[in-house]
Parts: sequence; C-alpha cells; structure tokens
Amino acid sequence: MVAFQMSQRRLLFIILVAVALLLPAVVTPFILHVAIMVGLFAYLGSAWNLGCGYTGKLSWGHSAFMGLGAYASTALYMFYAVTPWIGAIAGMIIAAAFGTLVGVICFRLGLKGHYFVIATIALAEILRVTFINWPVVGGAWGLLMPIVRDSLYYFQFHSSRLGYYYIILAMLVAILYLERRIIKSKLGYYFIAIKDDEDMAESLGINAFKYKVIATAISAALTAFGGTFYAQYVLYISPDTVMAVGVSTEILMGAVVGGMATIGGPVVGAAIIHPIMELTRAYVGGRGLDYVVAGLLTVGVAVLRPHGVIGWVEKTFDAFASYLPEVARS
Amino acid sequence: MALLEVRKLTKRFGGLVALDDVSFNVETGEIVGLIGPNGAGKTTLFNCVTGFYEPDSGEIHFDGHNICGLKPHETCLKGIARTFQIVKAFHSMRVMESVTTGALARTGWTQDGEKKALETLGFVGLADKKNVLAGSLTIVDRKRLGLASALATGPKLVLLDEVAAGLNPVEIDDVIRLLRKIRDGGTTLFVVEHVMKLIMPVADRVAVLHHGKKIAEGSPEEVARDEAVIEAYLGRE
Amino acid sequence: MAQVIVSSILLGGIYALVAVGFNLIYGVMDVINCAQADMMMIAMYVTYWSFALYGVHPLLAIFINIPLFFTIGFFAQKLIIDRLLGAPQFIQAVATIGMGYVIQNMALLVWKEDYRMILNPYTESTLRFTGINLSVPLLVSYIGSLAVVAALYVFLKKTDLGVAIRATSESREAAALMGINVKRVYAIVFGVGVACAGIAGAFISTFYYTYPMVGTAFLLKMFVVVVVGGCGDVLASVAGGLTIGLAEGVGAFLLGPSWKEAIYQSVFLLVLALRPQGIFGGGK
Repeated sequence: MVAFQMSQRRLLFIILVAVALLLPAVVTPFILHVAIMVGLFAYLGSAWNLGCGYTGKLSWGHSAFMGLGAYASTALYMFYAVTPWIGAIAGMIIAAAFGTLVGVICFRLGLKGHYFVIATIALAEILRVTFINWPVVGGAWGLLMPIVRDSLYYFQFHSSRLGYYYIILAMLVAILYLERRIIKSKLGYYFIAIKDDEDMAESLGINAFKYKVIATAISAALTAFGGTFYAQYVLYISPDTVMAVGVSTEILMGAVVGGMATIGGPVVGAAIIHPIMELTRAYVGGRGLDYVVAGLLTVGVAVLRPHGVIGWVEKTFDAFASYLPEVARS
Repeated sequence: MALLEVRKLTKRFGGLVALDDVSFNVETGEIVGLIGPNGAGKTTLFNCVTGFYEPDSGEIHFDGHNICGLKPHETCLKGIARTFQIVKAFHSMRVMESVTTGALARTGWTQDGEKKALETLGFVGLADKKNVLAGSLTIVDRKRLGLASALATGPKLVLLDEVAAGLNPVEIDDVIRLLRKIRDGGTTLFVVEHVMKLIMPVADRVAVLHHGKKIAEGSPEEVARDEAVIEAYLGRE
Repeated sequence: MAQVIVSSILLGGIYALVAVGFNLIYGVMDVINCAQADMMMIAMYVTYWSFALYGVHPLLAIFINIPLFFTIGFFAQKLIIDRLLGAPQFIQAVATIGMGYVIQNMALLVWKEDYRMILNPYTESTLRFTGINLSVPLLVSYIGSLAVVAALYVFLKKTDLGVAIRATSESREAAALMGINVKRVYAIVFGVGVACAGIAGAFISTFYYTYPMVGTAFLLKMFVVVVVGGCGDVLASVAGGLTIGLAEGVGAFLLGPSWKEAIYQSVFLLVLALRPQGIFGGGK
C-alpha cells in the first residue's frame, strides 16, 4: 500500500477504465469473449476476496453462492417470466441467507484452518447434490435458457456481445468501488483485525463471530449476482457447471495469484490466468492443457510469491523506493 | 462498591487447579498489582475477567454487573481493556489504523475513530510513528501500541499483562510515568507483573498469587516483607 | 442389505489406505497434499497400461508401483513440497491442488476422457459367501489394504526409521537435536505417502473405472475420512475409512445413489459438530 500515491492510483484506474471502455472497438469477438470472462472472474474473485481475503477465512465453497444466484434468476425467468435483473436480487437474497447459514455453522463450530475449508466444500457439495436430485430445476441436466432477441430487460444480447461486456465492466467497477468503501469503513478495519489476530480483535470489542458471518453473507450475495450474469451469458446452467468445487477453485485462483486482501489482486490475477487459459484452449485445442497451465501458475505463485502478484510488485517497488528516500516519503 | 470484584474464583484445566478460590477487589482510581511466581495463575485470572476463559465457579462483578461468562468483546464494551503478555499486534496495519480499530468500539464512523486514535497516540507518545507498520516497531513501541489500542476503546479498567517484560530501566521509568498518567486521567489499572521495579513504585495495593491461591494482599511494602511471599519467590520455585 | 453393508466395509478399508498416506504426510510434515488422490489416479493408469500393454496382472503391478511412486514422492518433496513447509495451510492447499490440476489435466490430455477398466478373469470373479455376492478383487484389495496399513503401523512403531519419523512428527527441533536428518525424513515420509497412493491405485483399478477425474472424487472423500477418523494416526484412517464407507453404502441404499456425496458430507459435518477431533483424534 505504500508504493503508489493515492492520486497516482486514481489516475491509473481512470486510464484503465478508459481503455476498457474503448476496447471493443479494436478487438475481435473472440478477444471480447476472453475479456468478458476475465471481467466475470475478476468480479467473482473480488467478491470472494471481500468475504475471505480480508477476513482470513478462506472458503472453497463459493460456487454454491454462484449457483444459487444463477438458478434463482434463471428459474424465476423460465417459470414466471420475471426479468433476470429482479431474479438476480432474489438470488442475492437467497445466497446471503445460505451464506449466513454456512457462516453460522462454520464459525459457531469454531472451525479453523483446513477444517474450515473442507467444511465449506462439504456444504457446497451437499447443495450441489441436492440440486442434482431436484427435478423441478432440471436435476442433473440443469436448465437451458430460452433465447430471446437482444434485450436489456431480459438480459440477453446476441448480435454482438457488447451488452455483456459493458455490463460486466460496470459490475466490476461497482464492486471495486464497494470494496474500497468497505475497507475504509468500520467493517473493513474489523475484517482485517480479525484476520491478523482474532483474539486481540475480540479484546478490542470486536464480535468476531458476527463480523465473519457478515463478511460471508456479503460475499455470498455479490457472488450470486455474478452467477446470474454467468447464466445469462452462457445460457446453460447445471449443478456440475455452476456448483462444483472446480468452479470454486477457478474463482479463488485469480485472487490468490493476484494477491488476496488487495483491491487490485483478483483483477490482476484473473487478467493473467484467464486469457492464458482461453488462449491455450483455443490454439492448442482440447480440454486439459488450459488447466495445466493455470495449475502451474497457481503452484508457482503459491510457492514462490504467496502474497500474489500485487504483493510482489509492491515489495519490489518498496525495495526500489527505499533507495530514493525523498520520493518514498512524499 | 468496588469497580472490579472477584469472588471465590476457581478455574481448572483437567487435573490442574489454575485458580483456587481467589477473591479480591479493585477500587476505582487505584493501581492494583498482581504478582507471583511463574505459573501462579495470573494470566489465567486475566483471561477469566476478560472472558477468554470461563471460570468453573465463583463470580466476577464489574461496575455492578456480573460479567462471568461474557465473551471477550462484551467485556470490552462493558469497559474492560487489556494488553497481552506476548505482545499482539495487527501486523498488516499501521500504528494509526490499529488504534483506530480500538476506537471504533465506541463509534461507527471512521472519522471519529481516527480523531480519537490520534489523541490516544499523542497520549502514549507514539504520534510521530503513526504511519509505521506495526511489524516494524521496537518492542517498547509495540507495547505502547497495544496499550494505545486498548485505551482507544475508552475503558474504565485496563488490565496490563507483564508490560515490563524485556524492557530496560529507562523504558521501565517511561512506563511508570505513563501508567500514572493513565490513572490520573480517570482509568483504573490492574497490572500483572513479574518485574518488581515496575510494580513497587506505582501500585497502591498488591496481591500475590501462588499455585492459584491468593497468599498475600496489601501495600507494596507490606507484601515485600510478607513471609509467605518471600518463601514463594525464593523457596521452592 | 447385508450385501450392502459388507461391500461398504470393504470399500471403506480401501478409503483408509488412500487416507493413510495423506494422514502420514500431514501428521509428520504438517503439509496438506491435495495431489494425493491424483497421484493415485496415475497409479491406476500405470497399472492399467502395464496390464493392457504387457499383460501384467494388476496385483503384480503393485510391485512396480511401490518403488515408482516412492521415488516420485521422494523427489517431489525435495523439489516442490519442501518450499511449502513454512507456508500457511491455505497456500499449501492451493499449491498442492494446483499440482493435482496439472497432473489431472495432463492425464486428460494424453489419455482423453475415456473410462477404462481392466477386464480379465480375476477382476470379474466373485465369491459366494453365506448368501452374499462378494467381488473378489474388492475383497482382495480390502485385505491387501489392511495388510499395508498394518505393515505401516508396525514399521512406524518398531523400526528405527519408524521411530525417527514419529519423533520428527512430534517435534522437528527435538528430532534435529537428536541427530535425525529431518529433511531426509520428510522426503522419505512423502515418498511413503505417495507410495501408499500408488498401492491404492493398483488395488482400485481392479474393481473401479480408470479415468482422469477419478482423483477428484476420491480427494473429497479422503478429506472427509481423515477428519472423521482423526488426523495423523494410522488407526484413525482405518476408523474413518470404515465409517465413511458404511455411511456411503448404507445411505446410497436407503436414499439412492445420487445422494451419495451429500450423505458422507453430512456425516462429516456431524462429526465436526459433535466430535471435532475425529474418532481417534487427539493428534494435531
């Protein structure tokens, strides 16, 4: 956090957003698709980060929230013709409720370390299996979204993917802004205090249990909205594509590689991993190599630079800046 | 009515009796010391009062309320703050942020919290280091930080756990001055200590724990002359 | 119903074998090896191809797998895992999951998604015993797994190396002070753990499909077995394995096979709630 000045960062951000806004004009549809996926996982990674990176309670079951959001909005649309935008809100509420349940169970039991992680996987798996056995929402076959012509109201855009691109861009900017506001608020202080030292936090009047549950619920709701976007983009959801452990892994990989507990981390991470995966998939062909590469990257980062790319950049910059004391102190 | 009343407190860990029927009071505005050889149960007592442990029997009253069984954050909100024997810090935060976290116990607005944090930092003498990362501080400053964060919660009573450990004589004098300043500001202090040089000049009263039992209580001079105390420190330990 | 119970117990014994390797690594080195199940998957392929290309009987393949996987594990520890030793558990998990990803997807690339099965008179044979049909490979694998687990137990308790390993697991510093080469112990332990996966793979390929994703299914199960039984202890793995095997089998019988995962995950959560250290826990 020492590296860049506030004003420099804001400028950097504005430049990036401007570039992003103009991007569709100069790229092929394939690259646009990659950009949309990067945007989606940057968004999901940020949502995960809010709940997990800052509190230090690392969930591996976030696909459950994504799935709940996707199913809620899709089911409401298919069975009751409710616009996915409102369906998304329903999804967020349901996910927040489930997130609260997960939080209460895990934190009430005082689960630490890997027990917590496995418990989140367990709960997500139970949800996934429940959905597989629930014929109303398609069971293992899932739901296939009926295609309508382009419509903002019904959240589908087919003549070009532009609509999706700008929506995910807006979502990403919004969640980053929200992240920033939360970090600077009492919530943010309390989350980080809990992560650094829960006992000391408690001694300062922080009800760790309450705030961990709140973090989980917020993260769940935001992830669910990402689930709705996914459903509207891919137009097909099933328990194994939106609620599986592998999806949870994809969500958190970006945050881990880019740097947990930083605002830019998940974005950077997603921007590194997903283009590589998509390009590998397209040019080398066949499933498998893309995940190999992603896996190698993740292992590499975890082993060599556990603070992620951003942490690495900051440390390098700090080391560099310490040679220029005047600059560093400004 | 005393600010803190501990009555017949007992705490066991399996077969080990850490606290055995301990009773005493801390009056408002006092500086009370708690001494005793290692393993006497001093930190256990702190942990019971602040809610980190639940006592097996006995009562603890603070400011008229029964606080037995309250969770740690609840005891803080009631007005008890503490420092830890092994100095704890929020390692990814700066000094200012750490103290603000404490201040947020009494307000929801970061701005108010920051204001209070700045005041507290000035009070303990850390104002010039407010942007330093907690991990980069010296031991003395880390203890000051822990104390500042605790003070920022606006407590009526502060429990200090072996604050003098690892400090040189000059630093100990600084701490003595600071403690007196805190007491003069209206906050009661309850200090667990191993270093006599700190306790004797500063405490109004001292209690002595040994093997979980209170074996003496009185002014520092009285306690220093007490036979049982001398034996406990020099004898079988 | 009795059929179901017996089959479940047999399967449980095998879960125990997979978990034992993981437990050993975790107990001694404090490292969570999420790639354990994927290594088992590779072992299954090794066994399969030994059979398909060279006609090697799966049970004999065990003798190929043990040295092969021990070596793999030994060097993997030196190269990769060693760097993870001080890291927070989450990072360890991420790193080993990454490794698992790599292994799994390379297998996918090379061997495609096809399900393969070793088919020879041995693997298809069954035994009738008091009215229950027992699959012979399953039975043999069960006995074999228990034998391996027992051998490990004896090894840890009686041999010098075993004692050294247990000492290191209690306290790294103390062991080093006593002249134990901790780094070598770690490499050996990891090698042994992976070798267990290798043996398990050989056994499992005799009665279950071999395909690249089989690792994931077993991984989650393995975690649950380890937690239910209690971390770090050989006996614990057995207890955990049997419990989960039973829960899975009986539950599937009563509720239907598609509920399998939910059932054992629920058992897992129940154990966490009621007895967090697992049945035999008390280790870490």
